[in-house]
Amino acid sequence: MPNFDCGAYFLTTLVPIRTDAISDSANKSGISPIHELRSAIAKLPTAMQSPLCNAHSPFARSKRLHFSRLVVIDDVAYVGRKPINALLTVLTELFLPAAWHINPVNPQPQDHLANPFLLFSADFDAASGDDSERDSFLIDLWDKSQAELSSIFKYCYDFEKQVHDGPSFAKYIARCQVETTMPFHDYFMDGVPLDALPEISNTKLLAAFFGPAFLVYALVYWGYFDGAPSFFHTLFGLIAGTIVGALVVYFMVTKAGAKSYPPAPDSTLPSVLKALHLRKNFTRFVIDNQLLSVSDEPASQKELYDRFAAFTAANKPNDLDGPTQEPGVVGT
Amino acid sequence: MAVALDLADIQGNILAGYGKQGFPKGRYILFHIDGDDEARRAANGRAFVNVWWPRVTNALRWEEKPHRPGEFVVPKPEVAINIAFTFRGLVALGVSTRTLRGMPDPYIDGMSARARLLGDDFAGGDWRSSWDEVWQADAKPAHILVTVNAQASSLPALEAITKELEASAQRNGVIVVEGHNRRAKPKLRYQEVSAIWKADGSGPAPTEHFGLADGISDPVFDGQYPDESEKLEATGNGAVDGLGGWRPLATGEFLLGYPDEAQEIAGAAMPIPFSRNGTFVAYRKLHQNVKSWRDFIGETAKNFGKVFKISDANDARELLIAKMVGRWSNGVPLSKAPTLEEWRDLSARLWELPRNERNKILSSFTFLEEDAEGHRCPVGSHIRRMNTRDGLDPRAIRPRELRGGSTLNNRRRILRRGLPYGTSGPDSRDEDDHGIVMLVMCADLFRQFEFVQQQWVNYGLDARSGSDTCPIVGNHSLGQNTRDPDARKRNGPKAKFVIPADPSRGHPPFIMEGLPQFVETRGGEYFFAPSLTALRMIGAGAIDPT
Repeated sequence: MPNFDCGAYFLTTLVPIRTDAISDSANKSGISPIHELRSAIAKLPTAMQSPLCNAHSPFARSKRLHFSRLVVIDDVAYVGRKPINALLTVLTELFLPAAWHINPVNPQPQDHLANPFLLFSADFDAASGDDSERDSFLIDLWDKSQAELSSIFKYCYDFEKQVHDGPSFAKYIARCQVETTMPFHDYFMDGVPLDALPEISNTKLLAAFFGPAFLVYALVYWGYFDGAPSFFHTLFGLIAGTIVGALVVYFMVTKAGAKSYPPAPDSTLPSVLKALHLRKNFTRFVIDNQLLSVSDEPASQKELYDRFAAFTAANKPNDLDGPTQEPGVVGT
Repeated sequence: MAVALDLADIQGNILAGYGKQGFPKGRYILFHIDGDDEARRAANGRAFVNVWWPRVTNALRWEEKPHRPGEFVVPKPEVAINIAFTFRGLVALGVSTRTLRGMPDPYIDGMSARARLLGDDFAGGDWRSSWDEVWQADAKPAHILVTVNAQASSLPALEAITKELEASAQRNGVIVVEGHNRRAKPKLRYQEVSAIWKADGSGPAPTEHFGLADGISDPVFDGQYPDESEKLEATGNGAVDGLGGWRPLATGEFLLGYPDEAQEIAGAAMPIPFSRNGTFVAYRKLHQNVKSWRDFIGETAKNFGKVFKISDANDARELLIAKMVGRWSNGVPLSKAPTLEEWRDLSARLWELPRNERNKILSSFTFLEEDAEGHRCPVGSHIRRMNTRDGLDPRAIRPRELRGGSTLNNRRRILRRGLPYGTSGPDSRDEDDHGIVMLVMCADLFRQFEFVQQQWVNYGLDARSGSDTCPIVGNHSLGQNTRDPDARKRNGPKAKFVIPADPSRGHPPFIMEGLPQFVETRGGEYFFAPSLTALRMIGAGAIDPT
């Protein structure tokens, strides 16, 4: 279940965008919903990347959300024609009936989306991959940023009809969810603990292959066919056994691989924000006190000790609810 | 098979830095092509180019340099003349649209339009007012750069060439753009450059105005040196693999039309002969605040000495500078001599060693195995930012033979040409005119020069230093003392630099804070340095666009 990994829920949704033109009251002419959606997204404040930005991102109001993304997908990209082997084209014409001929001039089919989609993805802290975790996140986000979310999603199909509160927003988004197949988590400070990776011993793998493989082989060889076993029996039994054994191993490995990875230490949003706060303030503390730290005078050492006590008292390193960095704010 | 360069077709300043080749004096002259209409301007510009392209110094090796037996060599010239064009210059010269549209965006934009990305707008809204007059918006835009480099004994020849340039410009409606200094001074007609002379007057010293040895590790690429010396030159200056084996970098990183480090020939302006053997040049005039440097280093060294337990003030100063640069003031790398004792010991015998041995000491070192934590050479120091060697190996955790070595760094190298300007005696003030005119050369300004400037000089993520910038040439926030109100908000708290400490040495790291702006941009522009073939095409006004 890659929607959940490392203590975080990786939500990926594809929300269909309306295709009917919207009436533009100012110009009395129709306007494209995609145009309006892009314009609404462009107006959303990003993070407070510097004090020059005067607005907070509405997504920063969630105390669980690490990263969110809105992308308009107009259509699938056409990657060109399938190559045709010129020699093969001629050979089919020479040796095969007309129905098999390949005419290289004929246009090939192209894929298109029925309507554009809004990709909305979010990585947030979660206790498990349960739907209730996703829904509680979405309800909380709606409660804190209803106006901004509406300004975006109102250009999506049926949104205004279906969504009127947190639970209905969560339901709407859940209907558009697709499985996240490659979550990315980057909070392992000291490398990924390899012993937490799912492991299957070679003996188990061999047993998982040869056990079912032999059973199938035996069944084919002695059980299914009457009479004396022939070369054909042997061959068929070997092939069937190999396929079944390989399938068992495949499902065993993918099942083990689907086991979610344990959370990285201190990787929830409040912990990360606290760490940023402490790093910034501790750097300040070090700069201000680095001369005290190398002095051999007992008075200086006492002074350093007292100042560090004051630092910890002021910044409460173990208290996530204590002084911390504001979410959605970069620097300062 | 190694690349065999057509040396007679390539401008000589690309393959060699003249400063180190016995040309310590120089004069950089900017021209504007004038004329009443397009056709007149093109004719004027072409006439000027046609006078000068046959006199451009090519890259043929000089008799005295290592060369293959039977190779065609030329006598070392008295003066070296080279030529390059801005995008506007090529437009004025009437180069075809088909060719112009193949030029890369940064080159079309020009350097001042890239100020945000390069960090040149750091001082605030009126950043450009500190640039030299020649680069101001109301000056005639520069079209052609002619660099003339001279041997110390050839100053009369330099003067004569200048007169000739002036005369032919005047004949052909081409104007010398004046003002290689700030407003309200008598306008300087040329940018004079010169190596800094040794105190005893005996000759040029390989240093810049802060007193530091400069220009040591310049990249070496395939075809630059003859076979026998190539391996030697590439050691320390080329690309390094996980096992410590060095090779020259791909030619395409520095010359257009050759495979680069991604093993592809990057797109370039058509037709191919127009781009091939040419390269791009970032001209950057970098002012150095010598007094601020001396004062700040002197003051900071006191506290640094206390923390690093160095009693002698001069020793503390030397080590502090070495930690900021990554090299001691005489160029010996911290990686080879991490302590004062080792430095003195190595320096005492360095100049008695054969050149090859000396070069190995100065250039041949890596970071990953020996100094990943930066206890010797801080990860945020100048040389570790400008040339990360194997420090950013994406395959660092693999066994040595499977590692990537300098693979990421190989795409971010720049050739550094150019020379210092001005003087800096003991009574130097910040306002005095002194610094360096850098001529950065690379095949892709965006991927190489601009990336290094934006990500490695003016940001600290890859150096694991947060937002800290290069302690020497980076932008340094003055915190609340920043004059411009917008810049004050944007630039953040005062600049700092962390000097890590080896825990076994029994003292903590040192954080220096409040670094003043040591180096400031005073102007610059992007140029294209074409091959001799392309110069001929430009002059003829006939570039076959097919």
